Amino acid sequence: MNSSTAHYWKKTKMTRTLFNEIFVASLWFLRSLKKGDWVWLMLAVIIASSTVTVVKQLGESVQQSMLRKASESLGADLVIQSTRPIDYQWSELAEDLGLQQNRTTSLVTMALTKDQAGESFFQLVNLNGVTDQKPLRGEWTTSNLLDYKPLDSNSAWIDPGLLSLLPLEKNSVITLGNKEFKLAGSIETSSLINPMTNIAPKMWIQLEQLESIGLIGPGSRVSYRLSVAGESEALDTFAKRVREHDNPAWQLTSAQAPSRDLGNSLDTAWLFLDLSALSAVLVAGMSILIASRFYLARWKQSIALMRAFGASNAKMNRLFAMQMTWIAAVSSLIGIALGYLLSLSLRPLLAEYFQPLIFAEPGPALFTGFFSGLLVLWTFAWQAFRSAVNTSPIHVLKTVPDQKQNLNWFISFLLLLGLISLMLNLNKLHWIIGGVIVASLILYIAAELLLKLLNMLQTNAKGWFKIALANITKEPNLAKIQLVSVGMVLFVLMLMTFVRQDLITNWQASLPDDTPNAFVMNIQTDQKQTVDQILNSVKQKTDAAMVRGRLVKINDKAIVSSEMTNPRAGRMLRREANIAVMSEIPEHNIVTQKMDSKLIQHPGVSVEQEIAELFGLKLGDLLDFSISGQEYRYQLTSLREVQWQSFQLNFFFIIEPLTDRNLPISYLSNFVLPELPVGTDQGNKDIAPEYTKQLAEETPGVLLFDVRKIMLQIQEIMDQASWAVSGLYGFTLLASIIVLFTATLASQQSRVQSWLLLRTIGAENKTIFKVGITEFLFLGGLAGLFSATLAQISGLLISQFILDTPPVLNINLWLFSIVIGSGIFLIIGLITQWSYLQKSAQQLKNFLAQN
Amino acid sequence: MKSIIKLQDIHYQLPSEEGVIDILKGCNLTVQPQQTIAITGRSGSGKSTLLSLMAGLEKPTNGTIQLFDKNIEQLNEDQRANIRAQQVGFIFQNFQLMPSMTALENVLMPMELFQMENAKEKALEALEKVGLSHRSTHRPSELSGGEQQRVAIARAFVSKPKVLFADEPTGNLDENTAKQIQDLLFELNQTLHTTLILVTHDNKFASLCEKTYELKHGALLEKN
Repeated sequence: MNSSTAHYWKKTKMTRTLFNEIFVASLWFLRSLKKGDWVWLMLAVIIASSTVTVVKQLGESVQQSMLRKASESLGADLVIQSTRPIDYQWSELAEDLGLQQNRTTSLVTMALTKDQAGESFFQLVNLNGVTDQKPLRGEWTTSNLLDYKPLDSNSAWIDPGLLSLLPLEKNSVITLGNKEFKLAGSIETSSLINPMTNIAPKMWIQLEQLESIGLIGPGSRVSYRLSVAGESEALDTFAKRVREHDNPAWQLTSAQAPSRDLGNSLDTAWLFLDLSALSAVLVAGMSILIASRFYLARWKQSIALMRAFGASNAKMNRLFAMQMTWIAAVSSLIGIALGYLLSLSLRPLLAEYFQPLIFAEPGPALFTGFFSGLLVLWTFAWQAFRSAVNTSPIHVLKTVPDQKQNLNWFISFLLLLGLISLMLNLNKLHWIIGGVIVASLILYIAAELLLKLLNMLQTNAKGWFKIALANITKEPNLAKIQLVSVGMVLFVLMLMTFVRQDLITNWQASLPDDTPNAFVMNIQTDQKQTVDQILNSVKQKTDAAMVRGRLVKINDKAIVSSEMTNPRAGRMLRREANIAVMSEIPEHNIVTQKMDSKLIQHPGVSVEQEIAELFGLKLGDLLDFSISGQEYRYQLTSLREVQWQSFQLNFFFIIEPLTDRNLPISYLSNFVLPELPVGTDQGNKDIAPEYTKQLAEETPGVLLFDVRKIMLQIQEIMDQASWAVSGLYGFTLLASIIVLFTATLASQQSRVQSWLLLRTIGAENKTIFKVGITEFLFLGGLAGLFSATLAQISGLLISQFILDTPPVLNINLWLFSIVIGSGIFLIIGLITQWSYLQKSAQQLKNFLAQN
Repeated sequence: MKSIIKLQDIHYQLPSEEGVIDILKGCNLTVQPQQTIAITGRSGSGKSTLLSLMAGLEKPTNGTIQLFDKNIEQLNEDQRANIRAQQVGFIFQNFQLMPSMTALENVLMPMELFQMENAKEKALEALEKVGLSHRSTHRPSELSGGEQQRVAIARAFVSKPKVLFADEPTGNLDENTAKQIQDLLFELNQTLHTTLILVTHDNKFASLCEKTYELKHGALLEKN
């Protein structure tokens, strides 16, 4: 036989062997499946993959629905706003990427109209030239106060607020620039983009008209917007190109983060959702860790036998790896099917909370769910698998100790990293690796300490108590795994309970019930009394004195917007800012740094922290402001942290009031308006239009700005995020219950052996019951001790490094955790062991023979 | 006649906290094809260790073992496994049946492992030979000790090994059942022309073999 023929036969034999092994492994798997082996292992994988599928499917759907909601508020998915015309090449790019688009050009101008008697009325309006009759996302609500017609070259739409400021009715004529427009309808909008900057009521005309009525010229303050909407990949490409272009005049707003604070809250929600899913998977992994030891220990003797019969180590590896893969694949398939069905069944419920509901494409969720199932089994069963398949054939004749292989730990570690990377964003990998190393070290040390503690207790114990402790320590490695797994599960649950509560409380606190929802601006000193009289029935009115000014010098050095490297700083300098004039810093601001009063040499100014960072300001710096053409010098005496989303009166700069500086003071107020009437509730008429009208008539120039709709939208988004977070928490709880059950299963055989021995030597039912109960109380108590230690360490680290608060040792946490741990384990123990505690010696013997 | 097994000056040591323990101190033995050999000795004398060395389950500390003309101490684990797969069968004191498998599945197991043809027919035939064809679908927990050992014997003989190692095969059985198992073992051994190496502390059982050796203080002494 020549070498190529020999090679061919060798290859054919190998292929035949492989197919045969696949057949044998499949046969053994089916046999075991039929007999109910692997149940807990499969259940854990099913829970893991179904949880991941549900979380990814619902998470993606919720995320897309919330994005759609945010997009509708924005009128688009992405908006470029600029002080200069936006080149048409960007429209072409959007078109090439398959994105929908429209353009809006806005400016503030005076609108003129005449009443029936021919008297002229003027009003400052925010005039928008639009290319489309509707936004790219969502709809504009047409007010029933006027008949609605589509915009043509001679018509205009108005904000309903304008009706109370000007004598307008159906077919009224409004002059804008050099052209007259006929009133064609009234539409209501609410924008999450810079709500506080749009102070004048809005009007809409066609874009070509705006460009031809003589309002745009050199020096005009015009704002240009290009809005786009479409598929997320195309949007990402578009946004990336815009960011790369790095135009300082541009401001990019995305529906993913319509405002900075809301964006941060939503980011936290997404992270929590991902972490919840990961927690559920890790908790299920703990169950696999215990169950795999139990099942594979049962296989050890059989593997030793097969090896004695002549099966090679490689063959055993292949045969059992194939069986494990079968378990993982079948369970993952069941898991993703269940997960998807569960997502479908939750769809109507979800639709009540999220309108419109975008139910995400199932592909990515099913893919992640399936591979999470495969990985979670291999990650947590790897050690038990390797230990089982490496069983020496000598085991058939005598007991020999297992050889420890450190490489197995390394492989488990790599698999765990793979699993975590699959579920979380890859850019957090360095944190994950660090976290896993630290957690592994803590777990290892904790396991050793817990076992030492148990051994110490056992040495000094007597009677039934000693037997109970001996039952736990009989298999030290198993005891370590049980204690650490259950402890970890309790810890994850405790952490999730606190974090979830904290998140929801924070979100609720960010918009409490008494949050101001309306502002009155531009109140001159002589108008203040009249405004106060008009608004005397509103609740929680707060006033702030302010001036309009611009920062021009820092420590005698003139600052110019064009020299600013940071575009935000440049934009800040180009426009006048509202500067508060107050003797005290408002309570809702947090002073982060304060200058020693003895060192202050000039009138003081307090600066918002981020602005200070933007301009590189520090305490003691001298700042010159230009106010009404005159420069005033102030010294930076404090830095403040401001919650911009709180709707309180907030300012970048607060200057000290001085009698010798005759500043052009005006006032700004905020207050709480009653909630908007729902539907056609005529008995509960909205009071805002009446205020607008009265203010316009009695205090010209004073503007009321109503933010109730915007607040309602933010509240809705927050509510949706809270709902999603709570739902996920439920899944982790479910997975945890499975772990607790499997934790008792792992040591079932040795426990029953011990009870059989006790029964045989004549122990009463009461004694066996005491032994059983004590075992569970101790396992639970020690696991509770472990979880409390972890929680305390995490709490101390969070206090020290994140919250910057003094670390506190919480004794109650320890007591609570130990009691809860013991209690839960006792209940689980009673549920799972009750039937065994009632069995006779013969029945216990039969159980052992069958298992 | 060419020997099947040849042990020359076999030493086996085990490390322990108190130092090295000498289990075997220069054992010699030659086994011819189809011979029946019994090894007796007190508990802890090293009988099972000697059996595991002869079967190639482990290597001696010193000395040479020839199993089917191959020096076992020079072979790796897989090469030794290959010899066992083709030539060796085992019977154990505690039967070593898989609890979740039926009697038939237990007998089938080694044949499935090595892709033997007509495995099911052969397994049923083996069960019939040991008188258990009517119990083929029962699990070990549903069988008596004697029946379990018969299943183990069927499993050992089904692949027609040249040498059969039996470690206290009647150690867990009552006298009557033990007698039945002994008869069955010798009957099958004669029918299938197998070499039998038996480890037992039962002198009566040992006396049924052609040769009997006693393991005492680490040395193997021929008794008759």
